[in-house]
Amino acid sequence: MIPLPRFELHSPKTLAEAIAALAHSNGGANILAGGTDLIANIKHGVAKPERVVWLGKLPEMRAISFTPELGLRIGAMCTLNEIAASSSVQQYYPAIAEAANSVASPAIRNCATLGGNLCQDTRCFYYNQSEFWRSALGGCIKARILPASNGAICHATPGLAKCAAVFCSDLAPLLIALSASVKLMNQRGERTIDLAELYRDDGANHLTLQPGEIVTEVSIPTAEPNQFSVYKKLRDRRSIDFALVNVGLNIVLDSELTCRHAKIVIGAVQSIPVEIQTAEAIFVNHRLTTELIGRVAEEAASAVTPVPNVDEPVGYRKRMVRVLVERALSEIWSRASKKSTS
Amino acid sequence: MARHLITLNVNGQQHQLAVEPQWTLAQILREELQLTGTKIGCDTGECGACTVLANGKPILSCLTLAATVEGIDIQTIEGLARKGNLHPLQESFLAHGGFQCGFCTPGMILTAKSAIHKGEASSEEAIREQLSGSLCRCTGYQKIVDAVTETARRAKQTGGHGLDRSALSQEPFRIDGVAQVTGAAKFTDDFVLPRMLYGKILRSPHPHARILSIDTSKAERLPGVVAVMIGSELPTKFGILPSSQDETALCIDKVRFAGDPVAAVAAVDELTALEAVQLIDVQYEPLPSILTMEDALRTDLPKIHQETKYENNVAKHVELEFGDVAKGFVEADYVREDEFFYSANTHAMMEPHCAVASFEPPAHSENYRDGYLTLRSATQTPHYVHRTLASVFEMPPSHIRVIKPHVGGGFGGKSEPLALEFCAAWLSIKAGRPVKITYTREEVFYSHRGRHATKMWVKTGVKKEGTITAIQYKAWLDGGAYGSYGVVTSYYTGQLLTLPYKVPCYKFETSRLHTNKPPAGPKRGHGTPQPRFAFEVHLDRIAEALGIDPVEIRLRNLVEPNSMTVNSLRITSCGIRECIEKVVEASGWREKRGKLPRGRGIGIAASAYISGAAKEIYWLGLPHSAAVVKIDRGGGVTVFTGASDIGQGSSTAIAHIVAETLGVAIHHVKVCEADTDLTPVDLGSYSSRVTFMAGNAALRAAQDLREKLFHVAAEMLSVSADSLTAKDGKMFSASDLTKSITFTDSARAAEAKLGPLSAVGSYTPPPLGGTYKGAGAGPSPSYSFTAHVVELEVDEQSGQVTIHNVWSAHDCGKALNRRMVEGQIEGSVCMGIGEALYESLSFTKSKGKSENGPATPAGLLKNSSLLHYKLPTTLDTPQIQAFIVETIDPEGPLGAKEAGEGPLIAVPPAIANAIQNAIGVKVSSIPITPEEILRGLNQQLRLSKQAAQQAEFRHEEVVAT
Repeated sequence: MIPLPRFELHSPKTLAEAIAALAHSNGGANILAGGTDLIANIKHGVAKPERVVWLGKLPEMRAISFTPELGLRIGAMCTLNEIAASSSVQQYYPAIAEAANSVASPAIRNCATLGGNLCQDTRCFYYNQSEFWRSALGGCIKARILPASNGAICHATPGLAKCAAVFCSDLAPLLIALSASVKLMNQRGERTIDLAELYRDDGANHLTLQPGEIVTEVSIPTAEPNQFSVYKKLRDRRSIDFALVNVGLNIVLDSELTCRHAKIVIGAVQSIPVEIQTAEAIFVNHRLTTELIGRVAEEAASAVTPVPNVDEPVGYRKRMVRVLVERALSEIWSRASKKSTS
Repeated sequence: MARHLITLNVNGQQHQLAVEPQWTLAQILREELQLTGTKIGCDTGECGACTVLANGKPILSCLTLAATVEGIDIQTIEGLARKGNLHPLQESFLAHGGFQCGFCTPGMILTAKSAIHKGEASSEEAIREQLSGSLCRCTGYQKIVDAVTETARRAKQTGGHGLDRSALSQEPFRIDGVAQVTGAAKFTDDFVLPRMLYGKILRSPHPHARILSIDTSKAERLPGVVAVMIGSELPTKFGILPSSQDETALCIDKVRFAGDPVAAVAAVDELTALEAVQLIDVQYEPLPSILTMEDALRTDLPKIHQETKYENNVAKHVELEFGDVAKGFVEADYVREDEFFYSANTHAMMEPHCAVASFEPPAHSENYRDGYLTLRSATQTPHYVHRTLASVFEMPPSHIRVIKPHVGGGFGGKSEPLALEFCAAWLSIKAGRPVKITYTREEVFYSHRGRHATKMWVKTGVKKEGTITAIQYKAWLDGGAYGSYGVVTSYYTGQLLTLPYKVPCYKFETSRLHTNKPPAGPKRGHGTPQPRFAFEVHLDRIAEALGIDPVEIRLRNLVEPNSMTVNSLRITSCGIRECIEKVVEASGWREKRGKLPRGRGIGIAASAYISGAAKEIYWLGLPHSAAVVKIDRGGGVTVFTGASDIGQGSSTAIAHIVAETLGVAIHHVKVCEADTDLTPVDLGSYSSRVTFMAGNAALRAAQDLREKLFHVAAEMLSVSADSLTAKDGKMFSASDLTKSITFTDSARAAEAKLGPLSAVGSYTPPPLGGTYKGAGAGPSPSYSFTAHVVELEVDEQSGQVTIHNVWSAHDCGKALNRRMVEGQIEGSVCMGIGEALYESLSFTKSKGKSENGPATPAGLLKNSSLLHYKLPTTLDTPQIQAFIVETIDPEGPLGAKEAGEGPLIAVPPAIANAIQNAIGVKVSSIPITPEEILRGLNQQLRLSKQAAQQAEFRHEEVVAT
């Protein structure tokens, strides 16, 4: 067995206790939710917490509620299977259920939480390796074996002085497309930000969380009439694998199939989910046609730069952005046409 | 660090435990509660072997901290059977043959239990979805899915109650079946000996470097460290083949791949051992590394092994010609040449390698050589491990005992002595305490010995009706850093290309090359899937050029039973024609081929494989297999066989042969296997030799014993011994059925008269093969034959392939146990799908510059995990229809021959041929990636545009003139 190094484990019973446990840790603490990302990372030595604060005993973080006024609220400690099985999610946001169900494998989804999924570490095959392997490589910016000033580089993109590890969450692109916000709490208080603002374009430090901050809840605004959202994921195998490319897409159409609002977010290609504003601009106030779908998909593909840190070539993944966006839009088109004719 | 006092509810029992906060649930279950049915296959959440139920839901115990499951009901596989009654799922897995090595089985059964309980097992599709996080490398999933489907159906009908036992076959699927489905089967890592230490190995970070110095002093001073070892302590070289003795237990003066073992430590726990190896200071002088086959052929780069006879890194070169090939090509109406590439892939058996050593020091001597060493190891070849330990440790073989516990799959990856076996044993001798070393999944990848990456050129001449006139084949094999079985691979890859077709003349040339990568070796099909891929795809292209159906061209060239190939392979039983006819009919080939919509295709390929090698690896004059059968006074029969059951079920096959011969039910037969102290010689579980050779040895012992019993029974019944038959637990006269005695009575009487009853039997293959140099590799006492038809769909936008159906027919001589043979076929197909579409070892390439060379060093294996190295899941594996073709081999035990490897070989080309049929893209390399499919489609588009332009241009020309 790969032995885990020693650490302190805190199992707070209230949010206040959790916040205190994180606040008094001098930054050497990790939050443990479902453990499917963190424990594997500790085994690989890429996370080396002195203290682990487990949030599993906080029932207030496990609720899912829906009201037309407040929309959907999901506690950050809800597991992905609970979310996929929730009747509110299935009824109002089936794409969220689909995205949750596309994560890894069923047993992982019984443990992995929404908060954990949104705060998961970025990935790179120069990084998600054993300590032995990373030291044989000579370290990298993210693995911090050598400080950047001492020649540490990004092996995926050697020209850049920045880590390019990729953010592979299946939920984040779709939730950003749905204009989700997250509630954050630490000792200084509570704030709510757009989910998109949780991320920054730096693979080594991709979350904008303040010290000791916990994501406690995710809110998704109520769907407008004629809102269509879709999640698409491309991976090598039909289970277990992370996405090579994923797309979250949310569109509001009027009865003429003219687009009133659109958000297209591409994931798993860069350190941050990429919102394709140029594609959205092409889209809004235009009627959904095959020709338009092609143009939007083309624009989405040209707007992303997949990081060369998986075996599948960059060109292929770029092309797949186009394919996935095209598929997502075609699906919406056929759903919308059915709806408008019925 | 303070321990947490927790209460765990496991299988309905409460346990008060003081746990360290970082301990995982898997660790507590296995080490504190001895519930070793929970297995560790990857330890990072990628394989599902450690799945347990938490409040009825499957979770991965390797990623769960024990302290976080307090108050939750945990169920492990040990908690499933109640009051001695198996759970319906366990019964169903037994009835359907839903397991082989048993390593993934506990996780699989528990996951299925939860799925059925939650109503998520209503269809085969739903079941595959629920099981999709549990990897199985043996079964191909079909029988697992069947077992769960059946249980779910019955649970629905009966409100949760069991199987209808009367519907089950009388013959048990496996004699070790109950142990496998209840988690009771003990694998090497499940052994914990008193005062046992844990070992870890330090590995080289460089692909190629000289070792300048090793300083272990800091590691030795670390509290908890008991013994440290380095390579110079065991300088004797070894290697599985006499001609390539190029390894030492640990590297001494040079490292040859990133991951090569350099030093080892034994400490009180794994964490201390791991910390200690990191304290060992090794100074290296990096050497230029050879990472491509092209570089291996250069003469201006350092040699990886000085002792080889070539000036570059060629390890072995073979050239052989049979018949007049030049003439054969002249006689051809059509000659075609193609180039192919087959990537390196690995066994990825679910059980990581593990060795547990214990040492009894000598009573009256200071010399460790007078002591007694016992090694339990997850090996396919206890005999070679035993022999090599004796040589390297300079100990009398009689002082060494090698035991093979249950093994969780091998596929060739555990078929030679490996570093951990020497390290565990030597550390145990040094420490005077038992030592266990279990490889992490990453280390399993470094140990490798898997499929050689192979670059191939093939040229074939045919008559216009498709009959082959000549074949020429050339291959470069990437052997990696060491010899392993590579010399044999170099021959097999050439020699076995002449089957299953009639080849009047043939010439081949193969070069095995050393590179600074983990050593390649034998993987299921050993050296033959590569040329089979090349030739079967090449043959389809020939058929297309001649306008002949792919099935037809194969039927026109098939090898005949009782014939001799041009390279002196003796063919006896041969059912290849029936195999092809079976899959063609079952798949609806004639209705489908050429009539499917674009994007959907159907392809065929055929193959043959050996049932064991006719020549042993080194000459000792011993039989290749031997058996002792004994009968006790209660009528129980025990077979002592050296054959290693590695999950394929060889012990069951042997028990079947003995039971059949003595006329007793198989549950009266026990098998004591693979223990060098207790069992006679067997060379090991490789080259598909076990059923044929160990089976024949057991058959002979049982026949001998039967003669003794008949003799005594005949006297008692006053009939002649010749007239007696043994069946259904009785011995009776065929001519007078009233003259009968029970087996037990006859055994008792025979023992009274003759003394304790036992008999020995052995098997050595007949002299086979030609007289030329190299004629020893390829001959086998019998060959199996296989044909597959694959139907699939290509997504022309993403390039991804969905396999819808595989029809496989395999000629195994006589199927001793149909479910086991089907299981071998299905598992082979699944592994073949992995090789064809997903699996390939991938290494870093050098990039950028820094003071000490490239900023990114080349030659590190990138995908050494079950996340990045992709075995097919339940959802990537289609319905597999396995057909058994029986030919009753004249020399096989009860007519049987191999089934374990042959069915893999032609899977990749059948897939490649189906892809070509679906979209017209020619596939020339394995694995077939979506990106390459798209590239092929682009090229197709370009060519068709060009052709259209040219046509237009010609049209204009015509108009202009």
